[in-house]
Amino acid sequence: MKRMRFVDLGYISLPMLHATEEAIAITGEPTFMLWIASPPTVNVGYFQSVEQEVNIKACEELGLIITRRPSGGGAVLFDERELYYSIVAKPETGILPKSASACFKRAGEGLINALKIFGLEGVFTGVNDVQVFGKKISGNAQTNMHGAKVQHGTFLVDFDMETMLKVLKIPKEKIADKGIKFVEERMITLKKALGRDVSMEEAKDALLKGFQKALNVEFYEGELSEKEKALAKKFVKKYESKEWIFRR
Amino acid sequence: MKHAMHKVKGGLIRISLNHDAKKIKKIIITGDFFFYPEEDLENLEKILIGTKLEEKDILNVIKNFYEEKNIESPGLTPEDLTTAILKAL
Repeated sequence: MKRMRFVDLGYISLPMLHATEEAIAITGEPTFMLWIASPPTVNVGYFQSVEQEVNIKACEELGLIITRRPSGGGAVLFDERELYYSIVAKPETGILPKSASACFKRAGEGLINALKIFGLEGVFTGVNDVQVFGKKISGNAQTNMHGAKVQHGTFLVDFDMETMLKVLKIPKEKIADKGIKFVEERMITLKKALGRDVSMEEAKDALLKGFQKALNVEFYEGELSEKEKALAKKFVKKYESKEWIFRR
Repeated sequence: MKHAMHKVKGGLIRISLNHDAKKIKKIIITGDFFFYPEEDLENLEKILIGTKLEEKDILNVIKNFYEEKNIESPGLTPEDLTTAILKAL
């Protein structure tokens, strides 16, 4: 079986995460990463307009930074209660398929495998989501950088739904007077699905097992190279810049 | 600019459109969808400038662009984009 580097990034800022993904896309070593977003961040998809999606004033009041990811999809709140994965691999490696839809499905398998470890039945829905009990437990996104695929997403261990409602502009007609119920009807966390607390270590372990199976690889724990760290340090300025964040 | 939203399988398409009596003058396409290669969404916006405000003209331009650039946008078809643009008129 193919071996693949696994890097535990721990707590990382969104701009630094994207800079790291881009650095790895350049060095080209297939890598699976787990990370937790810190500080908490409101994050818009590549094709979204910050104005249209984010309540900027609420973010300022709550001290939340606004970021943009290089991949498409919708606006989300990243907080420290969720676990995230990120895969960087060139299609030639066979680890991630070239087609966008197939790549989303491959990642979906990893998440479904991880959910199975918890005794939960995950279902891949739409273009990029995984659901449990008909509610979203993972959202995924994907982009291409320097000839490599970057596939990343969230595993909702726990989640701050109230803050999300405050910072994202969800059309009033959609929410009506449902408030928090609006989110509760659509999203679920591991904690809720299992009715108990789930530690990050437990969630990490499940994702590692689930993705090894889906990607048909064996992970070995490694670190970023000096070259990757230097490149990431250079790229982070772009992802932190106003030009990037407010490009649309 | 005129605005419209159109929900499709691949996400919510948001259109900001500026036009004269016959043609598109400026268009901005935003939303929570996926579009590959990413940089080509802005190229599509550019190529749509000057297109007649007719369904078949808009659809043709987008379809040809998809073919020429090998666009992959899961759950988002040239027809979906055309419908979204027409909604903004």
